[in-house]
Amino acid sequence: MATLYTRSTDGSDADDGTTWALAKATLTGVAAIDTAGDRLWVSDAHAETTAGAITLAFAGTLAAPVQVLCGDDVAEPPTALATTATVTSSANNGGLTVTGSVYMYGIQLTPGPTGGNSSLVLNSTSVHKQKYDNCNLQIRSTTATVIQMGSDSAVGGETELVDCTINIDGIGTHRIIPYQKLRIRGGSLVSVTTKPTSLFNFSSNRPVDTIVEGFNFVNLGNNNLVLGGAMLGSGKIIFKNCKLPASWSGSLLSTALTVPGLRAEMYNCDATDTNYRLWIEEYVGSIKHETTIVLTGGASDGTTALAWKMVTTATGEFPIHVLRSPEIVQWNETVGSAITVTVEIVHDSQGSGASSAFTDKEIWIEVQYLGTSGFPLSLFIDDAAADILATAADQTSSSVTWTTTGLTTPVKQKLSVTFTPQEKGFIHAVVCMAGASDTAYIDPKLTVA
Amino acid sequence: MSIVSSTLTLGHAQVDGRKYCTERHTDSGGAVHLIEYLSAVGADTNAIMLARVPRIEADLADGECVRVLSVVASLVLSHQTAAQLASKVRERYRTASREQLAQLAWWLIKMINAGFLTDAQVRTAFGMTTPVFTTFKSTKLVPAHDAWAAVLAAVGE
Repeated sequence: MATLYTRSTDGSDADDGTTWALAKATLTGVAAIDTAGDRLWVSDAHAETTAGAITLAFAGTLAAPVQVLCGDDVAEPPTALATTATVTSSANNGGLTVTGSVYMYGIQLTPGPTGGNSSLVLNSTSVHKQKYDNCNLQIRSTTATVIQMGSDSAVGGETELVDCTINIDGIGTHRIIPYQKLRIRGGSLVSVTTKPTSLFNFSSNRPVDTIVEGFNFVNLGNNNLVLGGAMLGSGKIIFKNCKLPASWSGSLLSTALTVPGLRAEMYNCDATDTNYRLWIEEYVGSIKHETTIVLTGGASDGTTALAWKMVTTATGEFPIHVLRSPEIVQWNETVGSAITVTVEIVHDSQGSGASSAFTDKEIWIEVQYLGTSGFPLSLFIDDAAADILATAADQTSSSVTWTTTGLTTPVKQKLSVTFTPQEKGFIHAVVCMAGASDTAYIDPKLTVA
Repeated sequence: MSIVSSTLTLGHAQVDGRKYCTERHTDSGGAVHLIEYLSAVGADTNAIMLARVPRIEADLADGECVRVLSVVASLVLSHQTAAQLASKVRERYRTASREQLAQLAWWLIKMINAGFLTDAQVRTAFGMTTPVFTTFKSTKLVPAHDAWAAVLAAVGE
């Protein structure tokens, strides 16, 4: 495995790249001679501009990725990493493509300023892993372009961005399109003139598996995180512990999903230190945190009482179109004896049962427990209607105390199941809603008796 | 098609003073598009709602483009003109490859042959002169269309 050098200020692609003195001038030049597992140093003074599309086809493999590192060129090899190298296309339709398994540190990648092909395309060949660390990823064309991970025809693969800045400017229809597994850990959006109206899009025939953690979205403006509507992606995108713009009026989804498949989840992302914000969107409805309509003595983060507001769309239908809450998890020590798990709910007379109660075809609890002795094989139990032909029955009414501000005629009910665990372990409870256009407030705390 | 009416409903205050604001946007086809967000204390929710309208219209046009690409028997557009749709398909074509590219070419030729799109509309969307488009159509679009049609017609033993 070789160590090679690139420096635009005095390098030449005719040189062999084995020292700073014989450095290549461009990353394209060094990518043409690298082999799997090579370490490619890029000078901290490197500022490469190409009047054409750029393809960085690194020779890295899964077993031996290539390392592309921006470093302080006072030493050979450098003893300190840097973040100042730039690779830029100045051409109309000057796309920038990076292929092969590669770990890249401290490089700014900038496709061309105009044209619909001036996209930044990462990891677009099959079954590679790319990781970008402290890089600056840009698109800036005056025509719609994307930062794309994977491709519609590449199989497998994974891209990871760690502490990267993402700079998307030019027009509002620029997007990030992950065609493969994408993890973003840390980093931020750069302040720009024209922000994307919706940051992520999944219009692909590839499954969605994207998680964004610890990312600073403060420069998103009042725009949306994910393009909704007839989203073709199927899978999940999760935002966790991210900072949002002050007074953000954007949305997790730009519009409600009109097709099933995608679930967007946002956990503890806010502009202030609330530390409890929850937002989930999918085809059947949405789930958000609620801090006013809460159960007395119910769930809390220690300071603020919390509930979940679950709202179904008109698509809700038993038993197929079901809005499922996040799991409520609790450790169980009881073995061989029956226990009863209960979740309290309240709503504004939304149900179709007696006195507008919810029936067991509109809302129910589903519990997964360790009911098989000798094995961690779970069993499931719920208090839904037995099957689609069963007559709907009202869920049990309840007499607990809720704060019901804003509800005209509150109806309190409880969802419960009784079962006998055969192993110690976690109980996983999920509240399910399948009524059309219903709203319910859930206390996300299990009572086990 | 455009958003013809927009209304908003403010919910009760959360413990930090913010309120869930539900926007109800109705398009000229009667479809209702709901957006709910957590509005900041003192936010001008009406201005926010009005500013969102053009974004929803743009998203609806994008969504319609996705839907019509799966249909060849008709071309009923609500959110854009045929020329605007052709431009969107052109952008998809630009970055498409393999099966997706063949599908787009197949759809374009189907639409042209059925009279739903004209050569001129597609040519304009692709930014080509008439002679260049004629060559492009005969050497790229039609062969890709034929190839995908062969795939669609393929059967086993």
